[in-house]
Amino acid sequence: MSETLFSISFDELCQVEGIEGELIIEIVEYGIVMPINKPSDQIRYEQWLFDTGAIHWVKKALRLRQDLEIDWVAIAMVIKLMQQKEALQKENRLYQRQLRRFIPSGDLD
Amino acid sequence: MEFKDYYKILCVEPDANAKTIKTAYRKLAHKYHPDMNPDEGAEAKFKEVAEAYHVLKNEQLRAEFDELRQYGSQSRHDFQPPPGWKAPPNTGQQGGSQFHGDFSDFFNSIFGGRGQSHHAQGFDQAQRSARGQDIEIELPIFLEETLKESQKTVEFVMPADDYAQTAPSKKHLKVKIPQGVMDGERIRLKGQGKPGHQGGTAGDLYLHIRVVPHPLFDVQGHNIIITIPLSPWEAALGTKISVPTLDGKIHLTIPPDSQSGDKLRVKGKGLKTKTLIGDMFAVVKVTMPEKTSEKGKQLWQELANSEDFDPRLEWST
Repeated sequence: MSETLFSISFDELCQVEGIEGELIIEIVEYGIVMPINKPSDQIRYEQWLFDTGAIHWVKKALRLRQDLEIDWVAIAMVIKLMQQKEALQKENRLYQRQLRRFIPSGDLD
Repeated sequence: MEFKDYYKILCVEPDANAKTIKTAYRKLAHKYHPDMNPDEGAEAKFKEVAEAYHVLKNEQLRAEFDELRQYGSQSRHDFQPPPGWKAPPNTGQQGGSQFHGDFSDFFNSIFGGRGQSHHAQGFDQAQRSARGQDIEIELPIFLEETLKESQKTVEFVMPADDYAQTAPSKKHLKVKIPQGVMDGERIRLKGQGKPGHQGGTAGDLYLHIRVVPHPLFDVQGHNIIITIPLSPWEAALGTKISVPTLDGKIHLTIPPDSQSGDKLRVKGKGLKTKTLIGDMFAVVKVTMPEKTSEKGKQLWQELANSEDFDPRLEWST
């Protein structure tokens, strides 16, 4: 039975992505991902914990930076828009399903 | 092996300057980047474009490519490096590459491992021992399965390993799905991805949770929503009905004068995590009978005569 994990530590995130800690700190500073345990600045970055979804966005951010040669500010904006798009698509799917429960699907088109 | 004309791939002339090459790359990268273009084939096209840019932006690699191009353009479909051509070893001098390492056979045959470092600025992993690739798969689960911890056997394809020269293989893995997983969440299975190379650790396997749409319930956060069809008289007079929940049926009291769209909250019948229990919302949907009997028509007529109700009151202002 494999152990299922929902969070990843700062050190592990560096190892998994093969990057230096400074880069993760920079990504956090730009708000691309946020540690789940950063309610105050008293927690040192070595103690940061991220949810596993953060890895997906860190990978995306690194890829965008390398592939498109865009700066962190632009990447933060792109990632934020991507996240908003995903949330809106999810919300839209819910509303579509709810609407179909009120109106037969054939009548929507 | 096919000869790749990097100039043609980037749609630039062979005498294009660095600025033109960069502009062409940016234009094509925006068009084909997998994060921006979900079309099938876009990723392969992007890899080709990135490889071309990787070579043409580097003066030394470009000069070598130009030399080979004279030779290769004559043997376009069956290209072999000229006799005596030796792919130089990896010097590790390339930094900040656009590329993620999937170089074509053509690239490898002329440049060897050179420039294959896909580590961006700040990457500190040693060249010799490489961590295995992470794998992500979608895991569909039923809404009912999220209510308590469950076990699932996941099946996925382990990609081919060029280092170990293994073919893609089917893998089965027993995993524990915790209570309360949500649609869109990712579960990490440490070390279950592609094996590492020369002492490098194995990659991880990510399970991207996809909750299968339920025939009766919709999910909003930790709450679930069920639509309850009512006859017009049930909605007008109120009633008590049996309503399904995720764990059995309950009796629900419908108050008189209920409207389509009214929401009734049933506490604690939503999704459950270790710390939180959501609610169920029953949404009223007043449904007309498809056919009305003669008696029914008479009764509706009596209602029409006696009631002073204008459903289009808002239109008259």
